[in-house]
Amino acid sequence: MSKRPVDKFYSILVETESQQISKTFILDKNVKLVTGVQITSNSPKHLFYRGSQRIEISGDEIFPDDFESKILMSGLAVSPDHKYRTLGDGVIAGNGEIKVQYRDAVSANAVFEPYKVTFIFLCEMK
Amino acid sequence: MVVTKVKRKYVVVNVEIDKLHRFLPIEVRLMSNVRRITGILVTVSENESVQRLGTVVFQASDESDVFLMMEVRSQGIDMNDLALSGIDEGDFESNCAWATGHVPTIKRVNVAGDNVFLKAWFKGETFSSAYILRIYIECELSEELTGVVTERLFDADEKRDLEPVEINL
Repeated sequence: MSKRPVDKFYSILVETESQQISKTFILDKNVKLVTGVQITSNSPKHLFYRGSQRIEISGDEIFPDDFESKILMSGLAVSPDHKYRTLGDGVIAGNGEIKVQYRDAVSANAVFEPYKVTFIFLCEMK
Repeated sequence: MVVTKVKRKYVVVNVEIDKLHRFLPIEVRLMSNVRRITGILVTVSENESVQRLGTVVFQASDESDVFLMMEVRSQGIDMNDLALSGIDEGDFESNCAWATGHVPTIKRVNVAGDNVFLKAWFKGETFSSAYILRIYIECELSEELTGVVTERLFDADEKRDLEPVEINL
């Protein structure tokens, strides 16, 4: 019987315009593989038009600088099983460190106000 | 047993479009150990126009294959029935990409061979205000050695089965 995948949530707060935030999150020791990623926000409009990020898992670059957040977003109309962006066969958790460098950019489609960005990783446990 | 792993990397290229370009060549330099190009995506920074802005055509390095043509459109808003009818739905935003799920997605391609330089050209059709064209290229790199796994050692019972057996004819 296959194990149930587990969602791990990590959030950052964007407080000023054009802010660049670097954060390191630590996965549980029991995480074996990271198989999917999704980004969401309490203000999806700001995340869609203004956000970009770099994501590294255990020193391995998954998404480079200037990788727009809109590509990793999903929608209300999408079924839960299809919300995640899959990472192929999965990325080995290694030392369990996830480094995120998020950047807020100016956009005429979304006037800045503080918003929260949440990174959700779909993990396979040991 | 040697264990190898194939990594995937993304290359992001920003191109500033400040006027109507009928033909704008773009050359993308990839890593030298790229074995295959597996996906391409083109996005646009904010643009008020909902029209088609142009197309981007991609050609492999051997100069014989044009393997992909992608439309360049502003993204984020779908023209649904409510928007066309002028019905106000308040804050629900049912025509927005973060509600419908119609976010930009990478188009799958399969271009193998020597592709250190990937050629593309942008053909503009309409222009209202300056914007940035962002091209994402998903590449598969050469296999990397991740480790060596010791092969299974035979235990005593299994070794006995492999020993030569004397047959008296």
